[in-house]
Amino acid sequence: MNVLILGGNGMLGPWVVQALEGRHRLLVTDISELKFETGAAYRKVDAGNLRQVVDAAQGMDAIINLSVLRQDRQLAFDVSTRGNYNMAVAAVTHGIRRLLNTGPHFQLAGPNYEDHDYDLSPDMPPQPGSRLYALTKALGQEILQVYSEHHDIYVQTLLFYNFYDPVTMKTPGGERRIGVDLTPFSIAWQDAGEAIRRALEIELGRLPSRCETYNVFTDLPHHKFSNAKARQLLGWQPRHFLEAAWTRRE
Amino acid sequence: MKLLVTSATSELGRTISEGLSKDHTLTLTDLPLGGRAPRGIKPHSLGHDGETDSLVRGMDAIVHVGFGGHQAEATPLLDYLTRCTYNLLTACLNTGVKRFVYLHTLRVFDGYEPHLTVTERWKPLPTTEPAVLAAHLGEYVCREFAREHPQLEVISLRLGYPIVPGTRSAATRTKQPAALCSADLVLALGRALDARVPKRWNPVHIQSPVPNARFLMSGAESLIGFPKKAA
Ligand SMILES: NC(=O)c1ccc[n+]([C@@H]2O[C@H](COP(=O)([O-])OP(=O)(O)OC[C@H]3O[C@@H](n4cnc5c(N)ncnc54)[C@H](O)[C@@H]3O)[C@@H](O)[C@H]2O)c1
Repeated sequence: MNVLILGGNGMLGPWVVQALEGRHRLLVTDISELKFETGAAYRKVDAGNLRQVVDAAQGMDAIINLSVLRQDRQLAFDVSTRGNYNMAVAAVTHGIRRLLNTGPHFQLAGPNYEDHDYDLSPDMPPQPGSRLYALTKALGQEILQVYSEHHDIYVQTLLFYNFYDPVTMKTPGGERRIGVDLTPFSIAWQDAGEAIRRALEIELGRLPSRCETYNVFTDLPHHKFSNAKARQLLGWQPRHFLEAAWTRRE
Repeated sequence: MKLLVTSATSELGRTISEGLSKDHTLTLTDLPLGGRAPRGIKPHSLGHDGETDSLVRGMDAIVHVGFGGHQAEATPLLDYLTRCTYNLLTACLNTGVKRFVYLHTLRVFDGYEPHLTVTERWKPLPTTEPAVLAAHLGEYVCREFAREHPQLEVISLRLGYPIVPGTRSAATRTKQPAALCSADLVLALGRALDARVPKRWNPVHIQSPVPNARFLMSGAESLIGFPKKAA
């Protein structure tokens, strides 16, 4: 497939590229200069700019949106909300049926769920609350949901939270977590890239609806969230369980 | 009451302002559109660097036009109704303004067959038409603020269509089953501004009581005493 990646230059981008390279023709894009080595084509594209996204999507079979802007109030809406609008319009313009979106788990399971409940599934109605990051991403998701109800596009959204290097057990912030428990929505970078590959390659006819969301984290014993849907529908299996973090040292 | 009304230069904004000015002290605002602002209108971009706090401070309530304000392309409309609604609600939290009335549209229920008893308990089904989608997202922002902040009282008035100038007979003459006359709009809005609301999040359906009316009004009746006229 010809695949456009928006926001591919961030932390997750290289792992997604690694999982897809050699299997698909990639056009990696981001607002900044390319920051990692890849044989894939690269182009500067502002996800918040409708014309640029529509142009970049020409000739594509799928779009993966990894872009995010978390803090600046204007840019957060430009990128995290309207970036998805731009992706949806590009898809409709060019007849692209396969859209992959990404975001944080709290765009769906905001504090109202997370502070109170267990076994949280990706099929709950979203309750992001009013935090800028969560709400701007949730609005972007709502746009995709509405578009999928009115156009022949298939949206799959993969939700993540904490990423780990499974060898060092370090988070991107450099924190090493051994025997002290972890956020029960954690995953190794490699497994995240693999989940995105599975979603990209799934036969669209196997999806129960034109808008599906997955909780993507490794198998964890907390029973706080459920990753069963990602495992069952995508046939995805995590390879790293990060058990050093959630088993006691003695 | 001291009220801030947004999109005040739009036709809907003018209807509201004229209707509310007798009983309330209004601050009318609209986006700076270049050139000189019309008399009585404070141009304001509803940004996030404290300027919106100053605008909102001291108000008893905000009337924020979601649907039926300005016509614009999708990009500025989506930006305005998501980001500026977020900024206004944040300013309300920062300055202690409790009551926030969002003016939305019953067009988000166009997807239901006309024989169905659509009430506030039914899920909105917005389309991708930019004005409808943007207004729906604005309401989404309102709902999430209300969910999280007990100090807010948010009312989303989902208004009938078309909105026609005049009284109930004007609404009846349109032969449109969801029509709303401007007199009823002002009546419902006035009631929404000072009604005691039991919850933080209060969507309410408002149309004129025309023959064969499309929407049931029991929710509006119990929450804000509309469409019954005051004794
Ligand atoms: N890293 C995490 O801890 C984490 C946690 C949960 C979910 N996620 C989600 O995973 C996805 C990928 O996140 P990440 O970790 O790679 O984040 P990141 O911040 O490292 O990367 C985001 C990328 O988006 C790009 N971007 C910003 N503005 C842009 C614009 N206008 N146009 C194009 N690109 C723009 C940035 O340049 C950056 O390369 C996002 O959807 C994010 O919400 C990440």
